[in-house]
Amino acid sequence: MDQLKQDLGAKFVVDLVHTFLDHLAATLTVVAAASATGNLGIIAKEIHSLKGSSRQLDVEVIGTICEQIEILAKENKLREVQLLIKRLEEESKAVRRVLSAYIEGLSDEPPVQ
Amino acid sequence: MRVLVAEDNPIFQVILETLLRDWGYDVVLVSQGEDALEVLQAADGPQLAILDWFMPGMTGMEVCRRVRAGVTSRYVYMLLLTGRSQSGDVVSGMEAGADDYLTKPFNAQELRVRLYAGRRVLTSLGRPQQEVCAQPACP
Repeated sequence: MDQLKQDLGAKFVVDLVHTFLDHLAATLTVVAAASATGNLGIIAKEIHSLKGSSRQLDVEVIGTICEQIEILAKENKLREVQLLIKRLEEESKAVRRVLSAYIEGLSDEPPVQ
Repeated sequence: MRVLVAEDNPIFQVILETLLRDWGYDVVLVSQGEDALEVLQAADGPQLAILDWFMPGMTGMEVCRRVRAGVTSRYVYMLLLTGRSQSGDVVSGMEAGADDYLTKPFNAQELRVRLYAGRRVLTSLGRPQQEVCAQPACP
């Protein structure tokens, strides 16, 4: 994220983090519904996408859980997947708090001339 | 120069579109493989393409296969951008017809120079060799 900030500026990173948090929330909604019905195919697809986004923005805690879910989903281990989705939901709350504080700090920075 | 970006992930869409415009490219953005193929098949379609591997419908790899099977009138330089990082994936992607391969998460500057390498290849297809060699390595 620091590299993106350097390349494209703080405002871009603020907008990008908002997009990521929207993506995170939307994915959790879809995955929770798929978990309830045991649809591991949908879970694997959505989680794969979130894994990529998280790692691109250095949100490694989410990326790591997503990787584990993706592997277990492909192995048809529904119970383990459901437990990890609960953990993902908890970690996402913490990540949201951290990222919100981060962009609040960026918003106070003067724009690059 | 026009570049096609075929990517369904909203984060990568925003990053790629912004970076590419910042570097002076005209970006054509699609989120499905079928749409990518349609854009590349147009008579004035882009000759440079960044393709995600996993997209709804046709995969980026399948787009590569079809382009190399001759559905476009001009050479298209294709870069696969994917989270698949095993060497077997690289081999599969390039056997399908990709010219280059970059794994996610990607470094922006690495993408920039790889695209420039693609532009050099495209230029070399249309100009005498001596003229190509006289070009600077990078802008």
